[in-house]
Amino acid sequence: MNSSVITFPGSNCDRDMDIALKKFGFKNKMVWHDDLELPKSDLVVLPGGFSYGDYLRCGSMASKSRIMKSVLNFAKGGGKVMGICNGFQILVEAGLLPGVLLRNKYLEFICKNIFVKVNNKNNSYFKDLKKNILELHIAHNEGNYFCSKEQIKEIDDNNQVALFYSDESGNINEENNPNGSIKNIAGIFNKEKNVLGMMPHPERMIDPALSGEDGSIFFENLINNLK
Amino acid sequence: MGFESINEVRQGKYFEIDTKENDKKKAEEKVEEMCKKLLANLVIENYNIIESR
Amino acid sequence: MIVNEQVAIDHGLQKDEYKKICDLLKRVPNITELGIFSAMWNEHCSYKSSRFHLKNLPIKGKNVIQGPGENAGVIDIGDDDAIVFKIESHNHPSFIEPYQGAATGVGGIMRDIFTMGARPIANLNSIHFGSPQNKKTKNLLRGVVHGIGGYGNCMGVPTIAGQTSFDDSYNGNILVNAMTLGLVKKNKIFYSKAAGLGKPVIYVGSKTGRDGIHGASMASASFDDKIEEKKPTVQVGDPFTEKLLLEACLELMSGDSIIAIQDMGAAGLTSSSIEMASKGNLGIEINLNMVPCRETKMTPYEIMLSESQERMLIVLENGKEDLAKKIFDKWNLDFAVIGKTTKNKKIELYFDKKKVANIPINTLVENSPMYNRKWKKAKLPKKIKIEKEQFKSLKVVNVLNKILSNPNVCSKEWIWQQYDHTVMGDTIQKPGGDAGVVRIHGTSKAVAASVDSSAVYCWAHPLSGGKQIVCESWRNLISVGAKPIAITNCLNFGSPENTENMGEFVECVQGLGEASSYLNFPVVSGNVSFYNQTKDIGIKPTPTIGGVGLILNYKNMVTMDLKQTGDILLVIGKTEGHLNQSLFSREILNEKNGPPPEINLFNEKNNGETILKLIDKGYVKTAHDVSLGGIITALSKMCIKGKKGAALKTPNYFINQFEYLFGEDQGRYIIEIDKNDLQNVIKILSENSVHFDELGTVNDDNLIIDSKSKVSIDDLIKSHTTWLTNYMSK
Repeated sequence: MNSSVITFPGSNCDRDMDIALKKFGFKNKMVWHDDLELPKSDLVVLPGGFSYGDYLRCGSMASKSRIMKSVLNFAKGGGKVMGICNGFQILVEAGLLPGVLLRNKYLEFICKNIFVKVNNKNNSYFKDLKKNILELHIAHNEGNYFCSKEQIKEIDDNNQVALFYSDESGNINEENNPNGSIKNIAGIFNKEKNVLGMMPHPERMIDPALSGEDGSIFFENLINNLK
Repeated sequence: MGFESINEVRQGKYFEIDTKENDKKKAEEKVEEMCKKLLANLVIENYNIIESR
Repeated sequence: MIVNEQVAIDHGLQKDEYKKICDLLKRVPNITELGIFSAMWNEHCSYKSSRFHLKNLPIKGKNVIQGPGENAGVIDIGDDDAIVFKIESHNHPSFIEPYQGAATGVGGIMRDIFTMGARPIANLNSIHFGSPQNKKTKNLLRGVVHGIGGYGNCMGVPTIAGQTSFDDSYNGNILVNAMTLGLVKKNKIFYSKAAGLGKPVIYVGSKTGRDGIHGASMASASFDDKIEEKKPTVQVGDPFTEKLLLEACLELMSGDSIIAIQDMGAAGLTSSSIEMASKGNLGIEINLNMVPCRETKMTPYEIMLSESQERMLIVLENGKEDLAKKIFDKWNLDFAVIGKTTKNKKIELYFDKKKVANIPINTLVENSPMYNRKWKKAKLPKKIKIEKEQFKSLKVVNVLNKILSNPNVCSKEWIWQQYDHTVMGDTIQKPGGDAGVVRIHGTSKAVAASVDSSAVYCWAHPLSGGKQIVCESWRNLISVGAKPIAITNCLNFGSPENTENMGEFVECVQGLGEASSYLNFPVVSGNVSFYNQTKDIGIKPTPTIGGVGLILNYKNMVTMDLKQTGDILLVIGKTEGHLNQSLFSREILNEKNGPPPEINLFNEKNNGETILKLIDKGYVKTAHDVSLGGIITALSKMCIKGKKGAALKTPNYFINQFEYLFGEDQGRYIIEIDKNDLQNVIKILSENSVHFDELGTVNDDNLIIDSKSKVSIDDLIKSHTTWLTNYMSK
C-alpha cells in the first residue's frame, strides 16, 4: 500500500506521520507542497503543524498550494485523503470538507489525551474497527469545528460525522468537549466518505512507551481495509 | 478601562490591495474573486469592498 | 550626529568606558561606531561584571565536547551522538511585553541550538512572577505562557518540563529563562569561528527592521516608571519564519559549504559579525546596502543594532553561494552576500559607497571592560529555634493541604497543557515529574532534563543556595534514572553595582562551582542577567540550573507515581528536621529568617550514585526527590500521580512530627520497592554507607500520617490541582 504525506512550509507532524504509516506497513513518500503531481498513492495524508504560520486563517494558504490541485483531483476520483489537525484545517479551506475550524472556545492551546466515539463505521477508515471508543491525543489552538445550519443538516442527512469527543464510556457531552466544537464533532467525512478530517492525532498514540495504542488500532485497521 | 457605553465590539481584517489593473471595474472584479477564493472564508466571514481608487 | 560623553551615557556607557573607547580608537567614534561599542560593551554581550568570577566554574568533563564560549554547550552521549544545550534569559522584554518577550526568548535559544547543527528536540522554561496578589501577575503569567506556547508549538518542538515560582521580589521584574536541547552527530557540529580570507559572509532569514534597537542595552538597564516607553525595544518574533530557517539551515548543513555560522541574537548583526571575526582572528567587511531591510531609509546605526528575529550570519566556502541560495529560495527566506572576511582584523562597514565604521575587532572584544566589582560577603544567618507552642495549634492534614495548594507547590498543569509536549513522538516523560525525558530518535537511549532554582535559599545564604540548586538538579535527574552529565546556568541577579547584589552573585557562583565540581557535573553553557530590579530593589538572587542526564535504555526510566499496594517506601538520606527557610516555616509559621538547609556534598553524591545502582539492578519501582515542603509533600505528589495512598510508619527520631514531615533537609529521595526486595536493598544501602529510614507502605486510597491524621487521595488531588486554574479563571 502506497501513501503520501505532504509537507507544507510550517508542517511539523510530517515526520511523526511518516513513522506511523511506515510502522503499519505503508510504503510512504514525503511530497513537497510545490510539486505538481502526487506520486502513486492509495492514501494521501495532510499532516499537523502550522502551515504558513496560520497566516490569514489556519490552512488557508496551504490549501492554495500547487500540490493541492492534484490532491483535489485524487479526492474527486474517490482517492482516500486524510487530514490531521492542520491537515483538517487545510481540507476545509480547500473545500474538500464542509465547515471551518475556529479558535478553541477557551482561547487556549490544549495538549492532552481525549476520548472519541466512532460514529460512522461504514467507510474504509473505520470499517471493522475492533473498538468504538478510542483514546487519542489533541494538540491545537484552533480545533473548534463550526459549520452553518445548512451544512449541519447535510452532515446529519449524509451521516458525515466520523468522530465525536466523548468520555471514556462514549457519552457525548459538553464536559468532554475540549474546544467548543459544534455537536462535539472531532472528525468529519465528505459526502462520499473518502475524505476524512480530524483534529486528534492518531500518530501520537502508536507507541506503548509514550502512550496508549488506539492509534495503532486505527492504522492497522486502515491498511487492512485499503488492501 | 472605564468605557461603559459599549453595546458590542466586532473585529475584522483590513486589506489594501495594490493591483496592476487600470480599469476600476476590472480591478474590483478581480478583488471580488480574491475575496471569495482566499481572503474571506464565507462560512464565517463576509466581506465588503469599501473603497477603490 | 555629534558624539560626546553625554551621548555615550545615553547609550548606557560609563564615562570612563567612553574615554577608553576614544583612547583605543585614538579619536572620537562616530554614532554608528558608538552604537556598536555600546552594544558590545554592555553587560549582556560582554559579561563585564561577571566573567571575572565565571572563569572559576568547572567546565571540563569526559563527556564535554564544547564548554562555554560558543553558541551553546555540547556533550557526548555515545554512538557519535551529541546533545547541544543552553539556557538563556529574556527577563526585561517579558516584563514590558510578556507575549513577545517570552516568545522571542524561546526563538532566540532555539536558534543558538540549531546554529550549531543540532535539531531541537526539547524545550524547557523557568518562569518567575511576583506575588499572586500583585495586580500585574495574572496578565504577565498569561502573556508569558501564551508566548512560550505560541512560539514553541509552532516550531514543532515539545516543551517537556519547567518551573514556575511566585515571589514578592519579582513584582517589578519577572524572570523568563528558556532552555533548549538539540541532537546532532558528533562530526556534524558547526561552530562560530570564522576562518579563511576573502570568504563570503552571508545573511539569511528575515528582513531587518527597526525592532529591538538597543534591546541589549535595555536588558542592561533596570526598570523605572518609564516602562511603557520601552515597548519599541521589545523584539517581535515569527516562529513560522524560524521553522523555515531551521529546515533551510539543517539542509545546508548536511553538505560542507559552511565554515562558520552564528545566529543574530542580542545586538543582532553587530555581535554576530564581530564575534565570528574575533574567534577566527580575522577582520570582516560588510556592505550595509546589501542587508535585506523591510523598512525604508534605515541608517547604518539601525541596521547594525536591529534585533529583528530569525536571522543568521554564515561564513561560506567560496563557490558555494549558488548552492546555498537555492536552498534558502526553496524555503522562501532572504539570502544576501553582504560582505567578506579580511585580514585587517577590523570591522569595516560601508554604506552608500562610504566607509561608515572602522573599528579594530580586539577593541570590541578582548579590550572590553572587565570589572572585579566590590562585593559584600553574606553572613550565615543564625539558626532560629521554633518553640513548641508554635506547633500546638497546627493540624497536620490542614497544613499539608495548605502547602499542596501553595502557588509554589501546586500543579502547574494549567500552564503545561498549553504547550505541545508530545510532538516529534519521543516524549517519554512529560511535564509534572522530576524531569522531562525524550528518547533519542531511533535509539534506545533517552535524555532527561530539568530546570531548577531556589531563590529563597540563595537569598538567605548565597553560598549554600548556589550549592543547593546544583544538587537539586542532580537529584531530579537521578530520580528519573538518568546519569547527570552537565549543566547550563542562567544567573539572574540585581545590579552588580550594588555590593550586596554583587556579593550574592559572587557567592552563588562559588557555591555553584563547588557543587558542580564535586559532583562531576560541569557547566557547559550559560547566561548572566544582571539589573533585574525595579528602582534600587533587586530580585532575590535566582541562579537557574538546567541539568541534563543520560538514560542508556529508556525502558529503565523511573517515574514518581506510586505503583502497587503493599510496596515499601524508603527515605534515602537522613532527616534532621531543618525547618528554617522551609516553605512550612515561611508560609505556615510566618518565619522568614534563618539559614537554609546545609549541603553535604559527600552525601549528595553518594546517595545519588547508590540510587542509580539500585535502579540499575531493577529494585526501584518509583522515585522522587524530596525538596520544597519536605517528605510529606513529596509523598503526597507520588500518591496523587499514582492515585494510591500510603500509611506512614512512626519515625524513631527525637524530632517533632512537623520537623520530620516538612523539614527540607537535602540529599533525600523517596523510593518505592517490592517488599521482597527489602533485604537486598538494605544490603546495598549499607554497603554504600547510605542512611535510610522506612517511611511506610503503599495502600489503595488514603494517606495515613498517624492515627489522627488521614486524608483521601481525592482530597489531596483537590488541594494540589485547583489553585492555579481558579486563579487564572477569575
